[in-house]
Amino acid sequence: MRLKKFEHFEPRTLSEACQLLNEHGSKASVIAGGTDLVVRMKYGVTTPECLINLKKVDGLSAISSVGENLHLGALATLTQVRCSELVQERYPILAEAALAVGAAQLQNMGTIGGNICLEPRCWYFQQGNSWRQARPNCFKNGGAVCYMAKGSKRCYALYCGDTAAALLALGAKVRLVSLGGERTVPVEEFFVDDGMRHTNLRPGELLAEVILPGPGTGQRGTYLKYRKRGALDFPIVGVAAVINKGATAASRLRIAVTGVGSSPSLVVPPADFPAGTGLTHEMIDRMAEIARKQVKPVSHMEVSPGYRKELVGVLVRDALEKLAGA
Amino acid sequence: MSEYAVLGKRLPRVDGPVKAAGTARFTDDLSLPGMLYGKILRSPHAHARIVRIDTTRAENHPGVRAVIVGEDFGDYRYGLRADTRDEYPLARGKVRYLGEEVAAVAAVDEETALEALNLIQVEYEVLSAVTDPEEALREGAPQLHDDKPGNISVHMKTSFGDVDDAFRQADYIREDRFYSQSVLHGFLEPNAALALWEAPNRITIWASKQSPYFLYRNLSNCFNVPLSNVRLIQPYIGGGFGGKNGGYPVDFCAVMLSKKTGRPVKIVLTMEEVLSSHRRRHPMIVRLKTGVKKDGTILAHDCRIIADGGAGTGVGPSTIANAFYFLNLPYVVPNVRYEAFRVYTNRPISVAQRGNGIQQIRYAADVQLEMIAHDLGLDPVQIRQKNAVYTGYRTASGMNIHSCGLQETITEAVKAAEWETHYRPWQEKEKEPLGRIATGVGIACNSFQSGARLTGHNCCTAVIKVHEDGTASLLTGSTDSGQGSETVLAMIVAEVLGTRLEDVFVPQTDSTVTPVDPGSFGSRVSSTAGNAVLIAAQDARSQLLPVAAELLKAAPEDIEFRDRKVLVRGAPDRVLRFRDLTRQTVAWGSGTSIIGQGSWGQTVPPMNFETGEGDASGAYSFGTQAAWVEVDTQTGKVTVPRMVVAHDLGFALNPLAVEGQHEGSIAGGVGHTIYEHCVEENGQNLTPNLTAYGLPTVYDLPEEMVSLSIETIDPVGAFGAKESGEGTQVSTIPAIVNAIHNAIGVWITDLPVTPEKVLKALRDRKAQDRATEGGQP
Ligand SMILES: Cc1cc2nc3c(=O)[nH]c(=O)nc-3n(C[C@H](O)[C@H](O)[C@H](O)COP(=O)(O)OP(=O)(O)OC[C@H]3O[C@@H](n4cnc5c(N)ncnc54)[C@H](O)[C@@H]3O)c2cc1C
Repeated sequence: MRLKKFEHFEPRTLSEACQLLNEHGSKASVIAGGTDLVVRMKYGVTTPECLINLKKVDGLSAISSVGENLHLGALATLTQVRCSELVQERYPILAEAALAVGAAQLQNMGTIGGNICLEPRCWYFQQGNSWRQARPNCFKNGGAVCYMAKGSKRCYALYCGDTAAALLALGAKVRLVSLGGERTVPVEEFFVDDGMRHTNLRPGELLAEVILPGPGTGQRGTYLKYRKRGALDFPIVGVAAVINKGATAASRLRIAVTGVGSSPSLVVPPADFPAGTGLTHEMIDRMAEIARKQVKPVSHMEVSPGYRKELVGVLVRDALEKLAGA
Repeated sequence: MSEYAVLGKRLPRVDGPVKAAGTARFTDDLSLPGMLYGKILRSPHAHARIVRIDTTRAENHPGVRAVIVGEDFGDYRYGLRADTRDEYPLARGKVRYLGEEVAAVAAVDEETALEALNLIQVEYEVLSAVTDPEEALREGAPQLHDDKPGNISVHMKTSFGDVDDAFRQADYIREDRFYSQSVLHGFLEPNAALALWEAPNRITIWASKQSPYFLYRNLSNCFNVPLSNVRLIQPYIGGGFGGKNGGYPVDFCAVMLSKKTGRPVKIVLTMEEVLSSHRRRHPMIVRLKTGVKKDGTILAHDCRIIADGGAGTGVGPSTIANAFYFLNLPYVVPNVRYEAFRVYTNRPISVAQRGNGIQQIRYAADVQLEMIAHDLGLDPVQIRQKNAVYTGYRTASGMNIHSCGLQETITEAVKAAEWETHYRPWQEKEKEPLGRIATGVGIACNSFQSGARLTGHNCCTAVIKVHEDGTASLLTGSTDSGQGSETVLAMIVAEVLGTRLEDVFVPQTDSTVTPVDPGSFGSRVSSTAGNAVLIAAQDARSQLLPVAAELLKAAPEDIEFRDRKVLVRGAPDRVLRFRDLTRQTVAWGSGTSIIGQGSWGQTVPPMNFETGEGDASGAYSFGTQAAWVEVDTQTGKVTVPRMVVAHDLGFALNPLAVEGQHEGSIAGGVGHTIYEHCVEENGQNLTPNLTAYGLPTVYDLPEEMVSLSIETIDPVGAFGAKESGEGTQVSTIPAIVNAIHNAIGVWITDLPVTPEKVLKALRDRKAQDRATEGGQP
């Protein structure tokens, strides 16, 4: 089946792209690898009148060291990210997360920017036209119900991007550009826990690059993904954990969870969480329990909330055991 | 088997290269000048009365050439038998499941057709729906078909031996409930049809069918056209697994739209349409009571089944009968009682799927046997050896076993699985703490019909045309839907004519040219069509023989055809190239054509859908599977790193093809056991795409699959061959489920084995133990 007609723009520069975005407003969609957007267009749940394709924007897929930091252009593909020596050396957790996305073909097409901005998912939303006609529309399709959380006033679509968890745990930032200028925000401030609007992107704004802070030395991290099958599937739960040597207690350990709510989220260690020596089993168990308690999943796509919570605990424990042992 | 020059060799499939290269043409690859595109409007309700359909706006939409509704087909209904014809090409009066076909449109392109669907106005009066078969049986439940009170689509009740007495004699009795879920066929080519109606009454249709001659008859009846005028041409097929047997709305609509427009019309379903509203396997609730002696000898089965038939009957009677037949095999069951209800529900129609009714029953029976072994402290291998049927055995119901290598398959499977090293009874492991990853091994046995013997036309016919250059064309109505029969049947021709596989061409089924055939179902092609091909090849050979005798100055019985040569036994200098023989034969006298013909049908009487008495087939395959599992005791995730298949298939016509079948069976079985199910809500499938539905990927299948063939040379099938395509999927489920018990001590009686269920079962093990005390010593 062919897609509905749309206009297609290929800006050469970011400012040209922003210009176009400004002009066309909500009628436009930004397309990078298209592996998420095109699927939604096929379903008819996203019907842009024009596409602003970032493919030809100069330098947008570069991966480069800038000072102490590492900058990843939004258009860098996941394959590029996971194969980059800089990433592998300094932030191997990000390579791990990129490798966990879908399957090889999707990593070849999908970009880091698109992966971060990935639309939240739900069995009642990503469906074809005739399927959706069989029931009143949900929030995401212009209606006023959420089939996931019956009686709720908001949309509970699930954010399922893999790399976001790793970026959160790494304390990465994103640089956002618009016609009016640019701003750089920490990833945790970029996401919003709302299935309808899961990022802070303002109208007319684009994600230009991801900034990974510091040289990455003295840092260990891992991303663990639990999914139904060995390939293709989005995370049922994804957990990223990063330990920074030498940092203060509170920022020493960063844990992020994806696949559980409408945005990825940080699991915050309590203020009294000990610094100093390595992780003990008691500390790990305690942290796993904290994480398990902190997440508040709703019943979603085959998996009960209780089971998802359980998995968060298991994955956090596994991740920390792995880091403690490494 | 060195007596054969071609058979028994690991020859790659002839359709392999074109499929791998992407040049094989499937229905959707075809187009005709002036072709229109068809789309189908489906019901958004699981159960509703159609009050009114207004197609005017759709008809007036630019680019639309025709719109059809149920009334266009008059009162035509189709189904397996006269009393089960409950399906319409397009709904009439009522819709009975969400996704049922209501109207169809032909337009100049797909987009226009889709737009037109939105312009068809259907007024429904929504009725309450029933999607649970047990509820559908209750009094006061919504009724689907006026002429089928109580929502009963098929009822079968039968008994052999003295079951009550056997239970009185039994030392131990168990009664359990098992559930096998709704799974889809999972073929990757959606159903598709390209039809051309030529006035006054000629139909040509290219359609994706594993059993094309069902549709050929359906179309003749539906459109009142003589069979000679129904030309069904079979392009390559992207898998069927039972979901492409009959005629479906897509076929009828393509023809009707072509008839209305006078132009060719193509309809290709989307994967969403296939997964949400096309056919699927019967979900079944199996309640099984089994009585045994102390030593594990089975005395009796008493089985009650409720099968969810969905909104139509399809081939349901065969599914229900199959479940009974294979309650009697592969173990000796002297007394057996069976009652099954196939129930209408407001769900898509359940039909045959690889194993047709047998998976569900063998899952229950083989897991329960394992439970019994466990309860009585018996060895799982020994209890199977003790109960295994044997050559010469006749079931209580009258099925006759002429060849049986079941014991050998058990021995071989156990050996390959290194059972002695890996198996420790759960009673022993129970005392140790469970590690993070618990491992276990399990086995299960199977049996299957080698060609379902249905009523009506049930034989296969082959015609072999030998060309003057020594090559041959084999005309057969037996369809290769991906199982590899094209290759195997060609190998039989090459064997008999003494040529090579590449010398034989098998065109795809074309009902005007190829002989009528029952179809590719019930594991019948290699053995049944194989025999027909063998006879036809011998016929062709016998036409060549007198000429060869004359040319070589030898007695016909001394002549041998081998490797493209015609030889005289004992006289190595007298040789003729096969191509020279064919050329000379064709030119003999005033010329002749070498056309061999052969027909072969099963000699047993047809399956008895009422009582289940007698045979289900002329021959039965047997086998054993062993599975290793690893269970993550924290997440509940089960993986199957290794699986062994040992199968008595009579004779391996092509061992490479057999391996493919074994691996496919494991893939299908692992999917059914662990990964697949349609998640539904009020009759709506929430998982109608391949991302959500979750067919196992290559990463989810056993890394190691061991395929062993046990050859028993059956007296019935071609060259002693039985089946090897379906039986092996029958025991995959119980082998895995038994292995899970061996790993973590829980019985999963409700498929699929999701991680969440496993985790819960582990937690509830105490409660589980209480529940399993149901049996009385
Ligand atoms: C079968 C299948 C399996 C998948 N499995 C996974 C999985 O396991 N894990 C996972 O994380 N993802 C998965 N995906 C989703 C997707 O492939 C990846 O997330 C991919 O990285 C998306 O990147 P893209 O460049 O293709 O995004 P696009 O489709 O191009 O864009 C995605 C969204 O982000 C917006 N966007 C893209 N770039 C920018 C930018 N620079 N600034 C602002 N907005 C932008 C787009 O407008 C769009 O809304 C899967 C997809 C499929 C089809």
